[in-house]
Amino acid sequence: MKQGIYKLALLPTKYPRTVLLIIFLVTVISLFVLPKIRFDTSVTAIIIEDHPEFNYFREWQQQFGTDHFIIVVFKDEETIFRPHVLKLISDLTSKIENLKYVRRVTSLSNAIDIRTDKEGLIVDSFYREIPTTQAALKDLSKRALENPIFLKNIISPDGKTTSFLIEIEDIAGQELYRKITVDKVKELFKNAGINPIHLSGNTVLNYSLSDYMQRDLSTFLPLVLILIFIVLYVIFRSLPFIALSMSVVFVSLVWTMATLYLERGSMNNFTTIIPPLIIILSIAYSIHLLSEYRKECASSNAKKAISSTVKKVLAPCFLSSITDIVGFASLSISKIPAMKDLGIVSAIGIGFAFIITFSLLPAILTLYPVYNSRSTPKLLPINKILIRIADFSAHHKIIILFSSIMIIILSLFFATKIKVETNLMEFFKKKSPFYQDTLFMEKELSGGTQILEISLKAKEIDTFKDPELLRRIERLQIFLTTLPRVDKITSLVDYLKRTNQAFHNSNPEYYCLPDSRPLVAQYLLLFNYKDLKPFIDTDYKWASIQVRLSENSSAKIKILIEKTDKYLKQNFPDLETHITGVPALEVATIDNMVNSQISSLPLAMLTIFALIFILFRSIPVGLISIAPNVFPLIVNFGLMGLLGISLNTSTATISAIAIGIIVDDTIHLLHGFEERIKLHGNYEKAMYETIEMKGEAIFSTAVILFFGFGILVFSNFIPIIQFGFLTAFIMFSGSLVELIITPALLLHFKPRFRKS
Amino acid sequence: MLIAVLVILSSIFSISAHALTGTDIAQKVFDRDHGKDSYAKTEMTLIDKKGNTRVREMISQRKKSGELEKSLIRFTSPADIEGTGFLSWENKDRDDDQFLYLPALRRVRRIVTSQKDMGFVNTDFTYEDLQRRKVENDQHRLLGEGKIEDWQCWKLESIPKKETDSQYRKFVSWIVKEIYVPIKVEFYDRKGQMIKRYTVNKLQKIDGIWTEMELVMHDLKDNHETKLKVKETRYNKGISEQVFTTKYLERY
Repeated sequence: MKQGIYKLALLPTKYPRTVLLIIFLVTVISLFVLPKIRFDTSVTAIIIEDHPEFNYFREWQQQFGTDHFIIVVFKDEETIFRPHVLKLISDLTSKIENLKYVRRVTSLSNAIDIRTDKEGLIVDSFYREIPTTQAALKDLSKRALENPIFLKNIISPDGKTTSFLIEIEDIAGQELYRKITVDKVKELFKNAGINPIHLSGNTVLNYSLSDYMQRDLSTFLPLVLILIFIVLYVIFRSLPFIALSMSVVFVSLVWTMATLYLERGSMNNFTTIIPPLIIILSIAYSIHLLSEYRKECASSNAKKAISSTVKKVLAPCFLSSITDIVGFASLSISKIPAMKDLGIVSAIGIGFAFIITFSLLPAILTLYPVYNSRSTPKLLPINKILIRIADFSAHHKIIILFSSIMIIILSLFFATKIKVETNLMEFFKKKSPFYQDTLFMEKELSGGTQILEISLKAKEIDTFKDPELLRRIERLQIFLTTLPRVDKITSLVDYLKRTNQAFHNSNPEYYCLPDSRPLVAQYLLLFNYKDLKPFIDTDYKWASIQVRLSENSSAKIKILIEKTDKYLKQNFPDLETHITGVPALEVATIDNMVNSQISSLPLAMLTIFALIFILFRSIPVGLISIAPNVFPLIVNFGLMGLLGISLNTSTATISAIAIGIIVDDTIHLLHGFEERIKLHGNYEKAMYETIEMKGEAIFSTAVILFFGFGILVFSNFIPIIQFGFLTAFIMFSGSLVELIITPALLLHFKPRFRKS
Repeated sequence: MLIAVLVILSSIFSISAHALTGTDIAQKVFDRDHGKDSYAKTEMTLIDKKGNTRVREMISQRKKSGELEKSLIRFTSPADIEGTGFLSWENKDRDDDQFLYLPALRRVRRIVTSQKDMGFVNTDFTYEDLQRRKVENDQHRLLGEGKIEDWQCWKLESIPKKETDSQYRKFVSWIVKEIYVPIKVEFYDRKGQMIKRYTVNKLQKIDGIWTEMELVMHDLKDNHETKLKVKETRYNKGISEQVFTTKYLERY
C-alpha cells in the first residue's frame, strides 16, 4: 500500500516533461479566465443568501423598492431658506435629472406638497419660483418644517440641512455606470460650489466597497510577495530555490482564482483575502520539500535525493494539507456567500498547492537537479534557540502548566464578553468617507440610515382603503416610536393625513385619517401610483411601512424586530406580516453565523484530531497534539472579548481556518520525532534531532504565516483587519506554544509510537 | 399643345398650393371638428406591470365656449369614488382652471397644479396630456408619411418650446390624413428616451364626427397602461352651460 502511494508520488520524477506540460496547459487556460472575475459589491454577498429571509427581501424589493439610489446631503451654515441656496437646489435637481443613468430625483424643490392657500388646493412641487422677500422665505421655511413627511427626510429641524434622493437605473451587472454616476453627481455639486457634500445610499455603499476591494488587493499582493521573497532568501540563499518556490505559488494562485471564477464568478470584500491566503499557505509545502531536498543533496546524489525527499515529506505535507482543507471546508456549509466562497475555494486551492508542489518541484528537480552548496543549517542560529526553548520547557514544566491554565481561565472569562454582530456600518473605518457621511446624516438630518420595512399583505384588493385598518397602522407607528433609536416612520397613513389636512385649509387639526372608505379612495385619486410606490401597491392590498433606525448594532436590532413582530402578530392577525429590509437580513446573518459556528467548528476539530490519531495510530500522541493547538484558539476568543472585537462574518471564520493551519507544525514535529524514535528510541536525542531537522522549516513557515496574515491589517475593511490581526496572533502564539509545550509533553510522557 | 402645358402648369401650382407644413397639420388637428359639445360614457381600465387591472366608469362631457372649451368628468364606478368630479375651464393665456369635487367631503376645491407631470387620477395621462396643446407652443415638423393599420397618416414631430416648461422633449404623432385625428403618439422625455405611447385602436364616425372609441396610453418605463373604451357617445345635443359650473359639480 505504502509502496503504491510512493509509486504514484514519484510519477513526476519518471515523467517530468509530461507533468510540466500538463501544469503549463492548465495554468494558461486558467489565466484566460482570470480577467473575467467580477467584483461583487452587493451587500448581500456578506450577509445571508439562499435563505427564506433573503428571498422575501427580494420579493419585497420587486414590489416596493429600489436597490439603486444615492443620497446626497449638504448643510448650509446659515439656512437653506435663502434665495441663493434654493436656486442651487432647483438647478441641481434638473441637472442631476438629466444625467444619463438617473431615473428620478427627489429634492426640496420638487417634492410633492399638498396644501391649501387662498388660491385653492395645491398639489405641486414644493416650490417653483424662488421667493425673494423675507416674508415669503419665512413662509416657505414654515411650510417645510411643518410637513411631517418632509421633516427629517428632506429637511432638518433646524432648516440647515437638506437631502437629494437620486434613483439610478437598474442595469444588471454593470459596475461602471454606478461609478460614473456617483462621480458626475459629485462634480455637479462641486461646480455649484457646494462643499462638503455627504453621500450615502446603496449605490454609494457598493461604490465604496468596490473601491476598497481593489485597493486591498493591490496592497496585499505585493506585500505578501515581498514577504515570502525575503523569507525564502534568508532560508535558502539560492535564487533557483526561490524561483522554484515562487513558481509553485504562482501556479497555485492561478488555479485557485480559476476555481473562484467557476464557483461564483466574482470576488467580494471578504474573498479578497483568498489570494494572499493561498500564497502564504502554498509556500509551506515548497519550504518543507526544498529544505529536506537540500539535506538529502548533502548526503546523496541528486537523482536519489529527490526521490528520498518526496518519500520523507509526503506524509506530513499531505496530512497538513488535509487539515488545512478540512478547516476551510467546514466553512462551506455557511449560507453566507462570502464564507462559503472562502471555504470552498481555499480548500480546493490548498489541495492544488499540495498537488502542484509535489508534481512541479519533483519534475523540475529531476530535469535540472539544483545543488545547493549553501545548505548550512548552521547559518541559522534558529535551531539553537529552538533547542534551548525546548530544554527550558522540559525543565520548567510546572510553571508552564500553571501559567497555561491561568491564561486559559482568563481567556474563557473574556470570551464570554464577545458580542455577535454584523453591523455593516462598523465594517468601515471610522475615518472612511462613507462612515463619516453616514454619521453626518444621522446627526444632522434624520438619525437613521438603517431602514427596516414592515410588510403587510392582505388577501383582498382595496383592503388598505379601510379606515379601521389605517388607524391600526397609525397605532403601530406610534408603538414604533416608543422603541429605542427609531427615528422616522413613513407610510401611506402619513400621506392620507397630509391630504386630509390640505383639504381642510391646511388646518393642523385635520392632520388625521379620513373616517370613511370612500374619502380614502377619493384622496388616493390625487396620487400617481408612482408617488406612493414605496408604500402601497396598485391593488391596495400590500403595504409597506418604512422605519428608519439609528441603531447600528444588529444584536439590538434583533430585539427590536422581535418586539415589533410580537406587536404585529397581536394586532394584525388578519394580515400576513413580515419585517424585512437590510437590517433584518443582518440579523438573520448573525443567527446563521452563530449556528454554523456551533455546528461546524467542533466537527472540524474532531476531524482534524481524528486524522492525527489515525496517522500516528497512538492515543497518547494524539492527545499530546490537542493541547498546544486548542490553546491558541481559546486565547483568541479571550482576546476578542478583551478587545471588544465582535464575532462577525469575518472573525467567525478564524477558528476553523486557524485550527487547520496550526496543527501543521505539530504534524511535522511529531512526524520527524516519530522517525527518530523508531531509529533509536531515545526521546531526548530524538527531540534535538527533530528540531535540527525540522526547526528551520517550521520556523520559517511560522514567520510567513505571522507576517502574511499580519499584512491583512492594512485592509480598508475592518473585518479583514480584525481577521488579519487575530489570525496573526494565533499563528504566533500557536508556534510559541508548539515549541514550548509539545517538546515538554513528549519528553515528560514519553508516549509510545506505533510499532513499525 | 398649349392646353397640355397649361394643364400641367396648373396641376403643378395646385400641388404646391396644397403642400402642408407641420404647423399646418397641427393647426388642423387643433381645429378639427369634435362637435360643439359631446357626451360620452367611458370605461377606464388601469393595468399595472403585473397584469393587475382596475376598472372605472366615467361620464365625460365637453362644450365649446367660443374658442375655448370646458369639460367635466364624473366617475360613476366603482362605488368608493362614485360622484367624484373634475371640472376644467380652458384659458387663453394661462393654464386651465381646474376644480375637483370629492363626494365624501361634499366639497369642491380648486386645484392649482403647475405640476404638469403629475398623473391624473392614477392614470398614465398627466395633467399636461389632458390639456389641449396650443399649436404655437410647439415647433412642428412634418417628417413624412406612414401607414398604421388601414389608415394613411402624416408623421409629425413636435418639439415643445422652452417657455412652455413641458415634461417632454418631443413627441412624434401619426395623424390620419383628411380627418386629422392622431392615432398614435410617441412621447419622449427630456433625455430623449421614449417613455410613453398613445395608441388609438378603434376609430369610428359617430354623429358625423370621428371618435376615438378605444385608446391606450402605455407608460413604457413602469410598464403600466391606461385603456379607455367609449361605451356610448353623442354630439351636438345642446348640453347646458350650467353643467360646467362648480355648483353643478357639487351636485351629485
